[in-house]
Amino acid sequence: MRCADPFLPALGAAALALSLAGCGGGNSSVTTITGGGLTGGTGGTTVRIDTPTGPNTTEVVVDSGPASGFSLGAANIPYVTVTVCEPGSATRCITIDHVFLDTGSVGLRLLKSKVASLTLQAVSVPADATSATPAGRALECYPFVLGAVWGPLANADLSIAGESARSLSLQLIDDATPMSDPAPANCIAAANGGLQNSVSSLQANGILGIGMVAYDCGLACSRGDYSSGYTLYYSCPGAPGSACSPAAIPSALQAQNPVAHFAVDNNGTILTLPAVPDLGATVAKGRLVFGIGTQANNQIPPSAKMIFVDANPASARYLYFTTASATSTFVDSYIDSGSNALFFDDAAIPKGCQSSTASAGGWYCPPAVVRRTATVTDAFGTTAPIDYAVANADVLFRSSSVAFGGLAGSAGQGANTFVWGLPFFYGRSVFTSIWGQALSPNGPWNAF
Amino acid sequence: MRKVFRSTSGAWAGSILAASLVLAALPTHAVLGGDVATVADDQARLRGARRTAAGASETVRTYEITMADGSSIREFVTPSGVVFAVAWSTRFKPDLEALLGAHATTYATAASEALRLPGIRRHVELRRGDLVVRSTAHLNAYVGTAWLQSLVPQGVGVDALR
Repeated sequence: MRCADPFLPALGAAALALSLAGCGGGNSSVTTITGGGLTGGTGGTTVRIDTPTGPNTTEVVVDSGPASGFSLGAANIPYVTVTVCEPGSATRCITIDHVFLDTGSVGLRLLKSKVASLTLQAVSVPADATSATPAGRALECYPFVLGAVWGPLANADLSIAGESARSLSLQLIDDATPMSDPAPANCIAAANGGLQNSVSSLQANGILGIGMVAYDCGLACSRGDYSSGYTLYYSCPGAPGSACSPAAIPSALQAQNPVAHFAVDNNGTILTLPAVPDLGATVAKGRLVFGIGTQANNQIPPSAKMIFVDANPASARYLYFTTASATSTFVDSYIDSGSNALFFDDAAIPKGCQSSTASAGGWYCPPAVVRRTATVTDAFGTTAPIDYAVANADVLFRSSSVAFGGLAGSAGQGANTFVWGLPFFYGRSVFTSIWGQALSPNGPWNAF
Repeated sequence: MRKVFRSTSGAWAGSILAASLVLAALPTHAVLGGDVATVADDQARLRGARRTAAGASETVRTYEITMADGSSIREFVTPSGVVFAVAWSTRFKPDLEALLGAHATTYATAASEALRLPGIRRHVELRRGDLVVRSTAHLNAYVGTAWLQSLVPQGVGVDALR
């Protein structure tokens, strides 16, 4: 049976789904998973891995998202379920599914309407004369490369599986109409005019940011010096709707990496996802494990490679490592569960997909799956080979699947970027450290 | 200590040019596609320290503005003194409206069109007319380049504009 050739332009989605049925779990990519319960979907296209288990683990699901069917266009987005409670309460709680699991950001951000039944205390910014910050409620404008989210910070108790973070500082994305606190002009500009304040624009009910650092901003925001870009934090002295000022906000009050605030297992995470067939799966289920080297189920295997990102804040390559693939070297490389594809430049792989739009950049659409091996190198000279596959995006998007091991797009001709997005995670256990927590070696790194 | 950020060697701009920049009158924001004097305007706005650096080629002058938080912005100037490209490595999302000068509206239009597609972006390349903007973020580390295709000097590869 041919499973590897995705170029089936004459086949409709139904036929394609049939052809996928015998290929579940057939991906040949290297995996470091041991003792896993990986099963191919013999009667469908669900792939799952059920281990590790334990109170420091929870399920991760890659599916079509929080709303009905494909209406959101979600692809390769990993989701988890979280429970938030009023601080100190065991009963005033709400459980929220389809929260975007993101190793490329830090902080828990939930649509405010999803926690409307709870009474959560606002985070208060203390007055700071040096930066002319008035005392007031903390609001944040957290940007992405395009778009941004806007809303107040609040305290809540978070629990995921058996872990809990007491009185966590998190962001409530203002999705009221009109917004409770109108976004400042600087934030509208930071959002490229498009604040993301809905399930449909986020493709999620919220974002669980568990990246390599403990705070979403740190020192720069504690000084309140935003001269290198758009303002992140504001202090709003008056009632909702009144004016807000750029704020110096202590790190401890900023949106926190939730994992760093767990009582135990608080130094990092492991995301374990099953291998996914080249042509995709309708559902992929894996595990998120809290802690690194803190329990029997979160030890780094001897075979794993540890790749640091550049840890010098004055470096132009801060928080990136280097990837070499084909004939190119990409100095702005990183691993990110929040990117739904691999993004890099390879002139030898055909683009020209029907599913590419002018404004969204180009997906790759090779006539047959392209297989490559890249080498990543960190600042200490550690190298690791990574096998990857590029399938035809048009074929993938015509299928009924939403988890794609071979989805890749161009980063632009000559781009220095190589984004190891979610396809990298399939068939692997990927460790993400939290810099500054009790962990040896300490620093910002991935291991896999 | 800053690490060397460019692998290609090239000419260092002379101190005479640097001095003339300091003396130049500060115009309003007009960087990309603007006169070399607008580099000084950005330096003032960004409260940064400026130095000239090895260029992307021997014909390109590079001005680097470094900021207290570790951020840096590099502006690339043609032999005739026009800023044809801007690259950034910043700890906050950079204000491209200010860096792109007269081309900011073009960028804003392309960005808002791209935002019609849902989801979080970590990397984007927008092309519209003469303008190309390439932008990436990992955590709070924003890197990217914007350039005007018609102004890139012959023999200069855009991959060196960083």
